[in-house]
Amino acid sequence: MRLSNTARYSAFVALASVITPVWSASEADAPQNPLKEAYFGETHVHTGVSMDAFIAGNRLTPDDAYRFAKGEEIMVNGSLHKIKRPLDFAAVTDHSEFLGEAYSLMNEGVAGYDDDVAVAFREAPDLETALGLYNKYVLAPLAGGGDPHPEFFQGIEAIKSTWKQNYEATQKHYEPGKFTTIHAYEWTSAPGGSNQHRNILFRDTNLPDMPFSSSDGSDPEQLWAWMQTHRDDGKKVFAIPHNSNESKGLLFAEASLTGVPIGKEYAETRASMEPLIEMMQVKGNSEVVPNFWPNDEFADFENAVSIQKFSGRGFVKENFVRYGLGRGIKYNAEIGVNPFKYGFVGGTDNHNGTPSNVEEDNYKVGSHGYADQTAAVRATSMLEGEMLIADANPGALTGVWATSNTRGAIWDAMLAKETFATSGPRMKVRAFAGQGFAGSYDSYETLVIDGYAKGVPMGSDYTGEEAPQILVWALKDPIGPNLDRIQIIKGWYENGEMKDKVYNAVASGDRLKADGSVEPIDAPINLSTGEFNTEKGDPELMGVWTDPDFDPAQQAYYYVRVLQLPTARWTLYDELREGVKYPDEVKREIVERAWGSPIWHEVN
Amino acid sequence: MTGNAWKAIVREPLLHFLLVGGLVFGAYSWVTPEAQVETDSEVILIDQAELDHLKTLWKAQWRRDPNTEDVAAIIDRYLRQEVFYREALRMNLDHNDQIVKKRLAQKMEAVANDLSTLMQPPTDERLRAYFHEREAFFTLPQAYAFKQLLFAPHTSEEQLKQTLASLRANAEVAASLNSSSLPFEWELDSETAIENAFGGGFSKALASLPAGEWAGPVRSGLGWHLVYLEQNQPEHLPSFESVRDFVARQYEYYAVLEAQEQVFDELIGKYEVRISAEDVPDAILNEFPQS
Repeated sequence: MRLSNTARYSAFVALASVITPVWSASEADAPQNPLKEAYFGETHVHTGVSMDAFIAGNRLTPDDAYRFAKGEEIMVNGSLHKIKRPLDFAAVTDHSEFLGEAYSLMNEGVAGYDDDVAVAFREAPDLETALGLYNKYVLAPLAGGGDPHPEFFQGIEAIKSTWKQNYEATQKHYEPGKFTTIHAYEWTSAPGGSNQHRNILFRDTNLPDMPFSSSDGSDPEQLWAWMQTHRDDGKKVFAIPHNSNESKGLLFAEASLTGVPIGKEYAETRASMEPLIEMMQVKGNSEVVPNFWPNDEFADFENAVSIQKFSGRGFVKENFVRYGLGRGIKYNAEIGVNPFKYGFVGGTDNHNGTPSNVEEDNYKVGSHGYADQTAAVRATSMLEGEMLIADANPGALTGVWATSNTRGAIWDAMLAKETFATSGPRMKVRAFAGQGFAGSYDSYETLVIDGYAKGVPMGSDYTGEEAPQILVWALKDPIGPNLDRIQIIKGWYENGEMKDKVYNAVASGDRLKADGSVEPIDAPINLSTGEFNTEKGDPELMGVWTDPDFDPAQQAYYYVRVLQLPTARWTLYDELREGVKYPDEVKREIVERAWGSPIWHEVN
Repeated sequence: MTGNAWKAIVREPLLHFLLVGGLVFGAYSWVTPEAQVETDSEVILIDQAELDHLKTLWKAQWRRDPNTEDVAAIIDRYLRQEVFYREALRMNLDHNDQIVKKRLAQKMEAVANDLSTLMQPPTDERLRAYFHEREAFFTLPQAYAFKQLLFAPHTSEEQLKQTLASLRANAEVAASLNSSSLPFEWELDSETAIENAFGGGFSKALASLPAGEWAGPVRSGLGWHLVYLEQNQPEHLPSFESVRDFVARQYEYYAVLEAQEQVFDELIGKYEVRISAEDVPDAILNEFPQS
């Protein structure tokens, strides 16, 4: 076998670790950053342990996934593959529903290994065969139909065994100060085709014997009850819902799944169990869509509109995160509690066992096994039961502002919602709401110190009487294009109506006009090479924005959106590299972005 | 068989091993008294070794010791399987059964791969050879260690020149100059990693900077930098001893991938492939030339 030259960088990474172990041995020794650093990582990825991924050809283990996250080259989906930059942290989130099956499928010689159905899963030679099996043994049970387990399932002990194997890999790769692994899994309930999935993340090694699956309970309230029993027992755990865009309007609903109107107890439980929501992933960006937010000129971004052709998942306004934030404010007015007080993370939901494989120019092996393995397949096919592949994207990334790269610091910062999501690039964004910020600072350090001294960070409550000043700061991805602007999105509830407005807070150059509009930046990509414009925009933006429409008696949320200059989409790279042709309506150019977790104005 | 062919076989360690393995199995059946060769008798023997083995398998799956009921179930299941298995063998039900064929082929593939790995254990000598065969892979890339100060893209050339002059004149760097969110000190890291952290061709430009003094300005994806290059470590091959563990890991990972193809290539050499069917793609016919 010939090794590619590009393997050499990962060789260096691994070599460096062999020659001089640079990380510290324990959490206590990990370097501390009192002003916090942005750590980038994955909160949603599946390995071969997830049965749907296994059927689609994935044989990688959590051990492989963590190695990939650290920058090593791995055999993925038939070819050697790696990401350009190692991650700071990762959580492998295999589906809990089929962990027991994974034991029989992946461990030669154990009971069930030679069962006809298990053999068929293992030997599915092509996409068509795999899809048949996937529909029968995965999709149907997850939607609540049919038997939850195939016959070769060996029972609870098999589930515990797999959970233990995932635990061992997650322990093995934790290097405090250098690379953090988080014990996690996905609870995969989709009653009636409404996506209610949640990723469950634990703070430390105090873990349950086995995870709670949708076969144990398909209603999120059952999941929260289970989580509560473990919290009562001293364990630290939260849940992150995702794909509200596929929820048929049921994620931000008027009633619980059992039809009970949402009351105080439900709202308190949900707010406590779910600090964060996944803004974007392979199967679309859930922030907003143009149909329902026609005044947001940047709403048309990775909306995955073909989702609507499958499983009766037509888009309704209630599917989107900005609606959810607004409905939360409205609930607050109605029942005194906001059940949807969500900070933001981004994930991939990648089923190849390759965390944060999000680079548009490096999306060579897809994210779903046979289903999108090659450019030829991607240009023409669909993801079974979900969407057109041309509509999918490589996935999103999570940034966490934490004091150290350790489980405790990262998990705590996530619980406190001092996080942001990006559509893939490693932009950094911070915001503080308070009073008395300066218009400019001598240094980044003084800006951050002043931010904490005079304000609250992203994910917190602002309780002042005056119109909040919001101090915003953003830095581009060093290997990406410059930044276009920073926007602030405000939402509130007024006269029985949920409202929201997009404000331009800072723009590069002198493009921000007195009326708040911004001269568009004319910086198209080079369609024959994929290169972005390197002249326009600014690498770093900062400013202070004061709410011009503040009403001290009104609850509101404010979140930051950072836009970078246009870049080439993975579809253009497929065309340039592989010679395939996507339909004309498929986008070749995108405006990648970051979303900072909201700050809420709470009326005292 | 010609002398050359014999030589080829003698040189082929894997075939050697399979041949010896076959002889051992043959010898075992020959020296073992008839009554103990279970498949040839009406006796189903569960001795201590067998039961211990079954218990170990059970334990591996359930991660606890079997209790009395479990042992009863283990033995019951074993007997049922053994009876039907032997009757099936008597009736030759294993012959040309697709599932049995596939399973046996898989087993053989696994055995052959294990044997191949056994034949090539990661000894120092072998690892050293592997290391030298792939020197390009194990070569450490160009790396730098440096200090830097970042200035906004619109900073004038004049201003950068003045700052550079004052940096060269003063022993200490004024704290006010270090105003960005980028770290000031950068430990030794590869050219690629540095480029990923700075962008805009920054790491390439480091090549031409003098070490041990402030220099620049150098452009990156973030702006202009003045740089104090502390170490310029050219691409070089580390000593085998210093990277032995890493070489071993790479050897094991890639050796398995390589062994699978190698084993098939070696084994198919023992056979003459005759394809008399029609409509066979040329690629296959070329790969297995017909005599």
